[in-house]
Amino acid sequence: MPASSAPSPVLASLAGGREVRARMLICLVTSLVVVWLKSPLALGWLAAWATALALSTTPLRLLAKVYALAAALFLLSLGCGWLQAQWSPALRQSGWTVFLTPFLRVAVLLGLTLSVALGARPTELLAALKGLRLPLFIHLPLVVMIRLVPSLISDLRQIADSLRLKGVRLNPLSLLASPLLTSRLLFAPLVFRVLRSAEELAVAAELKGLGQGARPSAWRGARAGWRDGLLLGLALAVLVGSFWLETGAPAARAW
Amino acid sequence: MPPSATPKPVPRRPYWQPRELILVGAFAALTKVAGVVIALAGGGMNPMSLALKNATATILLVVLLLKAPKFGVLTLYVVSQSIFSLLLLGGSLMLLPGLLPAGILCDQLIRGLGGYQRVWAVLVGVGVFDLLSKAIALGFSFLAFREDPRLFIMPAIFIGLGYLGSLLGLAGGLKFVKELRHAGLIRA
Amino acid sequence: MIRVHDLTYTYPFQERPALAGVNLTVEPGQVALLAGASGCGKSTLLRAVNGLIPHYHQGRRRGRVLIAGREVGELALGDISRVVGSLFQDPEQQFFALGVAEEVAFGLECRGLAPSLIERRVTACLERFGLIHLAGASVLELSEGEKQRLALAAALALEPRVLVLDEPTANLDPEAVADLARTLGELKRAGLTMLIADHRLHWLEGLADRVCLLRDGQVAAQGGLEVLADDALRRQLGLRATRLEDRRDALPGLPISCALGLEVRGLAFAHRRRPPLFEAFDLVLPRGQVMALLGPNGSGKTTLARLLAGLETRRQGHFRLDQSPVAPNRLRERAGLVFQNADHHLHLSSLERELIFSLPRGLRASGRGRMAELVRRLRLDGLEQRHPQSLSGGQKQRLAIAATLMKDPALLILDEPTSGLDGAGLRGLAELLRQRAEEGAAVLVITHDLELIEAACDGGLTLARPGEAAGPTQARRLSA
Repeated sequence: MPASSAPSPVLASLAGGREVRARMLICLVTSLVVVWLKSPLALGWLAAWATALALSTTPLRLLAKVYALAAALFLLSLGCGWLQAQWSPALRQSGWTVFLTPFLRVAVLLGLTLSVALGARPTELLAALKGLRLPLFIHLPLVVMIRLVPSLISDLRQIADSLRLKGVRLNPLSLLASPLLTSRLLFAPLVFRVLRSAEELAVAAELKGLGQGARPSAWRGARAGWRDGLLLGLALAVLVGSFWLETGAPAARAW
Repeated sequence: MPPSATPKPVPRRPYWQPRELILVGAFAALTKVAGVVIALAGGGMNPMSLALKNATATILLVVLLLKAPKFGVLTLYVVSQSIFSLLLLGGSLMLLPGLLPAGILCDQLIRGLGGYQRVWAVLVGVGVFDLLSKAIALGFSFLAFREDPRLFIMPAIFIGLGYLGSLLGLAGGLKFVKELRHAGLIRA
Repeated sequence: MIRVHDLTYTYPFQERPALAGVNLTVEPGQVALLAGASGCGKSTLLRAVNGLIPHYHQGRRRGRVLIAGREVGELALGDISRVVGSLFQDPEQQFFALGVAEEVAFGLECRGLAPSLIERRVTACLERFGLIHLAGASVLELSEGEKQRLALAAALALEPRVLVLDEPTANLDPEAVADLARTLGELKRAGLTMLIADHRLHWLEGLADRVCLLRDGQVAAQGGLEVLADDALRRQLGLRATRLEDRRDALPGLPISCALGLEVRGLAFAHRRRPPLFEAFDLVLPRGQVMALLGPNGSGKTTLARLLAGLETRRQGHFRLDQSPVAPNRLRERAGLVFQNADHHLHLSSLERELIFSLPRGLRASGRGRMAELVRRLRLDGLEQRHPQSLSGGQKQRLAIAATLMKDPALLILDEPTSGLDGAGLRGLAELLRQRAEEGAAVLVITHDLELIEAACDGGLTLARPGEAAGPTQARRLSA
């Protein structure tokens, strides 16, 4: 092995990511807060924030589709609620805000989901996880999940191609007509692939010394940068604002 | 390797071996991917896809417990899935305080019924876990919809359909385990 | 450096030993080759040397394996892997990280090395193996040769004294194989001891010092490279050729037209949000011939195969089969495509079900005769009730081919079918392809394998990467 050389400038650019850890923390805290909040104003404020976060990583069209789907499901719920109210007058509720609050909660969580799920490349997610220094029994399954998802999707495409060549149609109708057979045809090969992949990864892990007693070190785990700080600061301001709207604002009291 | 004068003490192997942790992660990944694919192939959130998604998740959990037959693997799987959802998919932290004891309880149940090598013990454990996790999901939905309980009917229907799927998954799991034995991939 | 003494090993739940009384010595700085038919015990012997047996694979083991004078059974796997590095056939399956630099670092992190030391070693390894410009790339975007180099860099980052390689050239094209041979030569000169198991033998000339030929878990012959000069012995043991001629440039090109076969005119295709892969592309695949589809990674071979099989519908161009226009869905009925990974073809719980299911619904009831014929031709007799996942790699591949042949496709396409095949398997496959062509099919095989090209191909087409200049034998991508 040649003598050590100076670190490559290319390697220096590997660290960092799209504020992944900050987004994770924001998701964690907001998912707790959103259940406690009741005021549509406060939740609307949070939903606007979550939408802005989502827009920084998600195409507008996709975001619009997701929100439209959520709205459609909610309208369905509303329809069911109205039917119930016809049955039992006791179930009648006054005020449309009681409908808005649950919808806004879901909108907040959806926006956060998209901002994290689509906001980082898998390599950035892995770097962020490494930086959290979780114990191995939590860290390793998460790493494997992130590592395997792209491979599984690629395998699934080939499996689907094989089925198409055998004349099997993969669409909602075929799933409805033969749900058990269609799922079996799609997923049984994937289960076998996963069993093999897991075995090979496990062999690689053992041969690389994982789980042999030494405490793993973390090279190039995601380091917090000024962008993380900025995002967290903004998130804190938004959360404080939502608390104020929930408890202190005159408009909130009017609701 | 220089021969040592005194034998080196063999380091204590951790409880969780990399092989088991990797299996948990692999099956958790597969469950997530399968859920998304079923939703997309099924045209969205309809009763069939909901039931099928849950059935598939149950079958995969049964297979995992038989391939990694160790106390705590169900809990670890649940925790991994939850943390993944929490950190990377914007999921809610509120479910974890319920799922964690449910997982531990069901791991104890499987151990009490004869251990992870017995297919029936695993099926009962997974069945009870599915029931508990759906109850927890119902509780969380109620919290989310508490302002207008009428709206709670939709999540209740979805969760109910999902549980029906889980029950089907137990039957499917039993069948699939027989096939995996036939293929030589499971020795239970 | 490596001493194997009277080693016998049986896997759990098996009756027959995978290795029986094997003796092998590899001196420091030597390169030893393990060769033999599929299933002869090569990989098992490598596992015994790198410590996976007995530490990972339990089972019954007798005899001794010494690495630098220490018995493998008495050391922890972590200690063995400090001295013995491993490289496998499909490196991507063993990558833990998704980034190139992260993958090299992974093993060092597992050892608990300081980040500053990891940084130095990662940089040194990436520079040494020509990967520094790919430090920030995803492992999923690398070519097969780059993946193999990355796996080598990751293994050598741990500074082992011995390297075991299990079929390292299985997925590599001839250029990447030559590159690997050069790199291993440098490592040998630096004093690394190597034990290589491979079906391909030609690239080891000038590299390997010793050869150990295995048959049914026992040593059939051992000695210097002259052991491989015995043609009769090589044939008997199902080995591949030791000398190869690169006929790729000499292959006749595809015809301009044909009376019977597939004609494609003016094909245009691009993946979503990417530049065009094919523009005004013409191709003719005549019935009765076996054609090779060649080209480097990224040149579009697999995409072309999918287009020809009717799997990609968002394309422009005219497709005609036997002089009649044919739409993609109709093409899917008439074409068969065998993927590189046979597991993608196997969906059901027995061979018989798998084969019958491969027929169109209306023909399944009467498909048993065809099934019996294919089972016999592809040497799958007696396995009809076996679960496909319980078969060996070679058997699975033959099953995937049989399943594709059930519908008697007019166009048969195979994607890298010889990866991991021994000599007997390769000759059997070549014979099958020629038979299919003689029976009237148009056969197209995507391959880097010079032996398959020699044995089976009548002509070939070489694709160039988009943007690279196409030579006289390469496909024209733009209209005149």
